[in-house]
Amino acid sequence: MTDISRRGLLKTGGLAGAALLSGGIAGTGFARLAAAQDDPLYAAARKEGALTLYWGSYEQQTMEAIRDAFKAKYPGIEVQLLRQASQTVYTRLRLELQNGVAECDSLGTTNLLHYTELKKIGALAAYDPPDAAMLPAAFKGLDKDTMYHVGAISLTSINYAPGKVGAPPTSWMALLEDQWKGKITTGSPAFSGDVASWVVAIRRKYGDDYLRRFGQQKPKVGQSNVDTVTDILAGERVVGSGAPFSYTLTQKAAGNPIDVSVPTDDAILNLGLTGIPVKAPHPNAARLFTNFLYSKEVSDILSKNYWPTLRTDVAWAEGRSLDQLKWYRNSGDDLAAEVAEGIAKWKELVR
Amino acid sequence: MGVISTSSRDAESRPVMARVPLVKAAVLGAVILLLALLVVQPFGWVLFNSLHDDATGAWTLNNYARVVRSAELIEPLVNSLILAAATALIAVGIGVPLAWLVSRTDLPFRRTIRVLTLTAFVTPSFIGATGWILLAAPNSGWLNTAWRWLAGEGAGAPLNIYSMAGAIFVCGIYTVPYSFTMVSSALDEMAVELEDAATTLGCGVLRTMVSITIPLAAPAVIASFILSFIQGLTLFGVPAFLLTPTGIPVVTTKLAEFYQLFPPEIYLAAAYCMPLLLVTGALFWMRRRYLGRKQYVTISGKTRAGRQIRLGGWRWPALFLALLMPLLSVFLPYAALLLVSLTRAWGQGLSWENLSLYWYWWAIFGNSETHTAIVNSLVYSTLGATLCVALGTLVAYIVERRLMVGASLLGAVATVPIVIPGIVLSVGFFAAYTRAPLNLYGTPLLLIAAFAATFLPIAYSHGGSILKGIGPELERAARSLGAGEARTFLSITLPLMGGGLVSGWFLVFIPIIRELSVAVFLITPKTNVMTTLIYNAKDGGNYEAVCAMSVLLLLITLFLVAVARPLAGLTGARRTSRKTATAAGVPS
Amino acid sequence: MSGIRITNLRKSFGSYTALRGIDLQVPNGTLLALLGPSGCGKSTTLQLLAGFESPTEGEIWADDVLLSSPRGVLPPERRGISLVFQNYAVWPHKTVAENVAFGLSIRRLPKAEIAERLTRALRTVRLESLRDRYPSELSGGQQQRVALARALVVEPSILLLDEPLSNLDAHLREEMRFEIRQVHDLLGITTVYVTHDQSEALVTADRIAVMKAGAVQQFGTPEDVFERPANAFVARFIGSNNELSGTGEGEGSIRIGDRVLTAPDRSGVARGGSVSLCVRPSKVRLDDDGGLSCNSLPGTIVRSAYLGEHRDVLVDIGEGRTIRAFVPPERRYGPGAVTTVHLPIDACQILAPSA
Repeated sequence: MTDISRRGLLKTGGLAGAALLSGGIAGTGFARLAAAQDDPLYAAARKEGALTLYWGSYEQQTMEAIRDAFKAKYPGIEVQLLRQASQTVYTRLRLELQNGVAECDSLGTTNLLHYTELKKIGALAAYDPPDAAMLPAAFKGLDKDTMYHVGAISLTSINYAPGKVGAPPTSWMALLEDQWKGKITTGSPAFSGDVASWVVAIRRKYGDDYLRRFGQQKPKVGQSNVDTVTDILAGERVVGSGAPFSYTLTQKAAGNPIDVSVPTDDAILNLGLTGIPVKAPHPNAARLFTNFLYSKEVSDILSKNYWPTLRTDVAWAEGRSLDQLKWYRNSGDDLAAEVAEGIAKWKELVR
Repeated sequence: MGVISTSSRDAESRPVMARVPLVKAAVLGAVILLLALLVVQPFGWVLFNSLHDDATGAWTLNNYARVVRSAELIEPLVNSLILAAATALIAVGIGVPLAWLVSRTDLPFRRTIRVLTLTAFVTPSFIGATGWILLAAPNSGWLNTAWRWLAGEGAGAPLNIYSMAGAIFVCGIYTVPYSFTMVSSALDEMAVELEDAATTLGCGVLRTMVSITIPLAAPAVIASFILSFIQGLTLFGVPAFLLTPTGIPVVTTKLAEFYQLFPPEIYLAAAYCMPLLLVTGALFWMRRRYLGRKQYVTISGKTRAGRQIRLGGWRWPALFLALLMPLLSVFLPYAALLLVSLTRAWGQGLSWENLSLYWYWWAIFGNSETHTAIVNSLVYSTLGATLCVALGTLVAYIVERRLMVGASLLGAVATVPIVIPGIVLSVGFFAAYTRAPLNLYGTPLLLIAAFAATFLPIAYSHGGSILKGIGPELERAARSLGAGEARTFLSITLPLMGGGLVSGWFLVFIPIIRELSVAVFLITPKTNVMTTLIYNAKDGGNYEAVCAMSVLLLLITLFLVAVARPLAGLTGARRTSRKTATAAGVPS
Repeated sequence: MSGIRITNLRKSFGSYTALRGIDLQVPNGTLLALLGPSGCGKSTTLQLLAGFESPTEGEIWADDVLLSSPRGVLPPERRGISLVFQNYAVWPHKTVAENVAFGLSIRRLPKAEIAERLTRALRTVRLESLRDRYPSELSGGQQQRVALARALVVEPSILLLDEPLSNLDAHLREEMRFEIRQVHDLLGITTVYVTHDQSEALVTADRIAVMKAGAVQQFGTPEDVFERPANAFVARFIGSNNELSGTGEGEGSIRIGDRVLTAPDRSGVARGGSVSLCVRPSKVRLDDDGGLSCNSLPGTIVRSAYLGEHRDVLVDIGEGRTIRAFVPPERRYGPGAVTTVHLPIDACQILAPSA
């Protein structure tokens, strides 16, 4: 009921903005500001005056930039950002639910299972952010009940040290060549969701035999897939598997000798999701923020930080785009079991 | 006389009043209440959780059954025990002789070595591990590279930090400060008369140390062994960094996996901590058996002037040995961290154009969160350590002087928290402190309470070992002169504990400031702390920032230690008046 | 000041019984010495008196005030009893003046009075010049005097001394004995003095309670205890003693081996029971009986030691028994010389082995 009426309000807000524009007020900046101020959702959010973000997607720096852009666009809302690892954020939210505490307005984590579970226990509120219309088609309408949406796009690829590697491996299969024996670094599926996704995808593609042969390559297994970058920069290993695409590019841009190689047998794509808890203390501010994620401002920030953007009309850094690369995303209803099986097989065959 | 005559009114009614004085009753009550709220409650939740099923939430013993039955869960336990025992042996094996050298002898630069050892203490274990990865990773480690440069390209890698030996080494050197600080504060107060025989050099001095001095400090040595053992059991950073690559699981890395699973197996994790509790319980039981009713009074009513043992020709070799610790735990790893923190992009290696103070600028000014986090860290550590030491000391006093029935139970309660790895404890604190009667969620008090509770065992053990060294007759003398128990504690016991209490405060303050896991579910955006930020930077792979912030954390703590050292000097129990201290021939 | 009355005092620690029911009456102003070997229960008695332990049975009274009973114990700070410890227990973090003034400041006396009493107390123990020193800068004797001054300055109704001189060297010990007695004569405070040194007890005390195994063996004046020991243990413990064990023959005689000796019988043991004949070495005569009625026995000199003031001679009287005699130093005996041992009947006593 309330939702429908709010959506109605939103529509009228949009109409009001359109009316203002047609009224002949010039200057897009002013128009935007005026639109923001007249936005009834913003008015409601400002009345709430605060917003608490529980986010695990994106690293601290990018998340802070997004927060600051939001504060700049919507003054009068105090934003609290809790940035911790996705699984920690989720566990914390579950603890809060168990103990009857409601703090979180917007949840952003990298595991779809968090949202299917939260939805199952009725802990998520529905909201359909109008600006999500600009998302790449493949990621629109993930949940038919609009309880969660794409919050981040994360790619897992190969990274390497350009100075020390003549020709980098160009596929996951190529990593099994003899020349990479003792040269590979990777994260652990038991510690890193991205690596776990990679393991699930690789098993689907090539079966357990891949893991067995990968184990024979004697990779160095860290925890997070970020460790691959560390190992390569330190010179401990020269090639990273299951490596973070965006983060590697950030380090490259900072001047570090590292680069990505997008595997021809598919970069593994993992979606970060976002949702609003049903008991969010500031639901309007949460909706305002969710919609803001799909704004040009945020996609510009993402591009600047080497993340895939959330809008088709904002290009990625270095002129890359989703269309240029081959990617694969794990889907299916029994992902949890598949992840557990993947970890078990990893322990048996790799380490 | 006056005292007697006032009470003679009661004489007719015959029974002597045995009423517990009001102050004592109030203090005992407060201590019991605080222990119940701060420790029993969170631990109760951990226990409660361990008896529930993660998926259904129903009561079950299944978690324990899984721990006992699964070989996959037993292997990490065994590895953890090996790591813990080796860590404790190294910590005591190095820390105790070092404490003796610094406290009892005329070793040069004693003060510097004290400060440097505390510096090692400040280092969060994951930072120390990072430093040592830079130094001793098989391919890229600087020490290995240097070795290959010296011995030829084919010389291989003499050091491999990614091994059980590597993890033991790093855990060991960063745990030495526990044993060093606890034992040196016991030795500082010890009268020299028993060592007097050892005026000759070499074997004579060493034998005295081994057969007289160290056994007298047994309570502190044993307490520090147990704490080091627990440290080896509960450290997460070092095994996560050094043992995961070699595929050696330990309890803490296994626990992290439980939390990483979906759905997270929080309740299984709680049950998985209980074997640690058993092991530690056994250690405390053995300590009690060993110390028994023996006397370890080092500050007695008969005072002797303190005197240093002359090392003579051994001074410089001893200094070399004493400096080995700071070299391994501070100079080498921090040199590595410092170099990384001073580069704009560390992968480029060292060059003039890559040199930059950018990351320090970023850490101090460039990041709005850092300010709050630094202030929060300092405030919480200060208040948390103060609360912790106050409570721990009181509990130790109640236990040592048996002020109430069941005092040893209080002691047992006070030793529980530290045994449980931070990430599990954090869940217990969350459950305990976010509901009545202690609803603190989102407030700084939540973190202060959790930190104080977590490190209570350190304050309690340390307080206990100091109290064991103070002769009860010093307190009884005050009682017989008309001072009540509270007054006696305040004007006799507390000042006599003096310097030991200050070092105890640091022994708690420093671990709090570097603690990460306990805070994980308790911090909120407003109550964020330094270590979370450092860990986030590490999580984001921003190594230059991690190193810069670690160096900053180190500098801040060093500054505080430097400020507080004169304070510790002021409160030393064995005083001399300025006038006569220099006068020769003080009779003893 | 008050007198002390101890009735049927018992104390057990778990299965170990430290005190087996002792009764003592200490009149006001008396100096009582609790004398006995270690483990006899004298220190436990003192801790009970001070209020640090509670009795398992029995009562302790100070005049008409019940201090301790199994039902309750008046806490130490409310007893008006000062205690001086074996190892002085001077506080290392306080100066001499601060140590001594502590009890006064607890009593919230006016500043002027504290200063006045402090000075007086320091003067009494001759420590005025050391008032600002810390204990680590004092000798053992000086620390002991600080402890004494600290205990006395509060004008306690009872003073307890726990082996106060045992940590001092022999010379100082002798001097301090007289000093303690002198202070007692000056202030007249009821004092209980625990010691294992019989000469300390004899010099300082008005009354001596000799203890063994948690029981009082004898309670009396120094003369009583020395001259008329209640049993062989007391005789042995106080002063040097010869003890020959045998069986009571009745009518003041004792059978030792195949000889029967005569002596006043104070054993209270029935004929045929085991008793001891006790005689001080200073009363034993060799060769000449000095005209006294004596038990005379033949003997052989085993050894003879010159001690300056007398000569300590050990005589074998057969059947594996020996007797010690202190004889004038000018008499010389060589080992193996034959002699006659005279035991003056008045100096001998037949005693029960011990209570």
